[in-house]
Amino acid sequence: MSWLQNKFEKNFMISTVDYVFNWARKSALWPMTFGLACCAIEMIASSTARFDIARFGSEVFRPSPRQSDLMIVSGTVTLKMAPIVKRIYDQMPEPKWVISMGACSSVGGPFNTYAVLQGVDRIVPVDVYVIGCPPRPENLFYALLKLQDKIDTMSLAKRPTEVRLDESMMENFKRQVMVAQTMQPK
Amino acid sequence: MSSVIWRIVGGVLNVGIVLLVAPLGQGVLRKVTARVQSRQGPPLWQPYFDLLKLLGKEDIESGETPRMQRFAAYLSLATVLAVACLVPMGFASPMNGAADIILLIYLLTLCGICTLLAGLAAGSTYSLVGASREMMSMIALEPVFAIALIVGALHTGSFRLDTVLNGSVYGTAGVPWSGLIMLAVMILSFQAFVQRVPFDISEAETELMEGPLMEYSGPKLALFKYAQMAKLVIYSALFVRMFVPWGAGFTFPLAGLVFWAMFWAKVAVVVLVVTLVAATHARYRIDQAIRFFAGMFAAALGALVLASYGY
Repeated sequence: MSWLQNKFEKNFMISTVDYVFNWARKSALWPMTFGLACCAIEMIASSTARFDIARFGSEVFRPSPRQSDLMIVSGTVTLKMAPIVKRIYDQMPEPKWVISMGACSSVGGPFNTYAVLQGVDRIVPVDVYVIGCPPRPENLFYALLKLQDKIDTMSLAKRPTEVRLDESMMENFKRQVMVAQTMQPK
Repeated sequence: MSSVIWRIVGGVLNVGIVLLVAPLGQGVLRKVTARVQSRQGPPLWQPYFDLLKLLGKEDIESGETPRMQRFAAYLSLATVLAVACLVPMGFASPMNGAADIILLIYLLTLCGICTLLAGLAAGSTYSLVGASREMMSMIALEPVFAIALIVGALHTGSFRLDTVLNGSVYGTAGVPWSGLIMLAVMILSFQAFVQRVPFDISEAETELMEGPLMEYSGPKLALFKYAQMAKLVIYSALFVRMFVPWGAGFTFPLAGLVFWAMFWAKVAVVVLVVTLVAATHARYRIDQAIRFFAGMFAAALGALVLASYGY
């Protein structure tokens, strides 16, 4: 829908179309199937019978990034993994969202070391952060509901999730990657 | 002239019904699966949300040959809807005199070929494996459905849709042995025709990442998903018309409505059975499935021989 964006003022027709599409979007968030560390175990637990993520319409864990809407970054993002996470994000079609699950992916967690990215928001725009080490499935569901609220404010006329990469963030990331590479003799 | 108009109206009505009902069938399938696994499950209308969301997403054409990919996506839904025009959905088939069962067999094969095209056009390793699996199972399986139709045609001596799609497999003087064999074969291989769990080998999500559909995103994926949902309804309707057609074919308005409702109740039962089998079985490996299909094919050939001798 990129060719439609920023072409309209807010009016009755646009708001109605927005309402219908947002309703569908927030009720059918398909997460990408991947996990980075222990938080992923809690993410997997959220799709089991006891917690059942299907109630929110997110049961369809997609194996291909081309088909998913939601990236749940669950676990420690090491610098070696960071470019791959970024690539997965780039491969997902718009509109797409990111939930940063757990302390590690939000701020680096206990691992303030040369090998760990201090927060996944340095490489991809994050919509909802979940605290916890690891967070329980209920926390993930709360984040999902918060994300649904956010999607509700989306519009054909303007996207509110337009948090893009900051240049300085990118520089910082590259520097850290370089540090990691020089620390690792080849 | 008026018959042409009625054909068009009937065809559009059939297509509309299939488009409306297909996601609901999928919703029931997902809900029942969830209940069997003691989960709450998504709401019944979840597939409508899924389709609408997919239609509103960005369309990335990332395969080797985007033009072929596009063609395969449009062709798959178009073929399924063309089949919907031929199948009698409670009332007589709208395209009755305009098409015969040869066209039906041809269109049903084309459905599988669309998946093949999609896999070949995507050109990634997973989708190629998926395409080769689809090809193997198609070669083993498609003749079975064709034989079921041909057995009916042999019994009635006609290729007309309304004659063959009316329980014609039982159309012998004595005990319809060939019909009963075909009924057993169709029940056993029905999951494979509608691409549900024990036989969804070509797009095994957990091992092949959706196989041929891997590179599809947004609206074209929605078309493929829609075609798959519609396939379940259409094959169920075909099954009901071929093997349990009793009580249909009345044209008196009130009785017609009753039997229309009965037809859809039977289709719903078939969908439920498919769901229960899908929820309680694990996927077969491709070699196991091919061996199974080969057995089915042999039994179907036996039925064909019996039918040609009039049993």
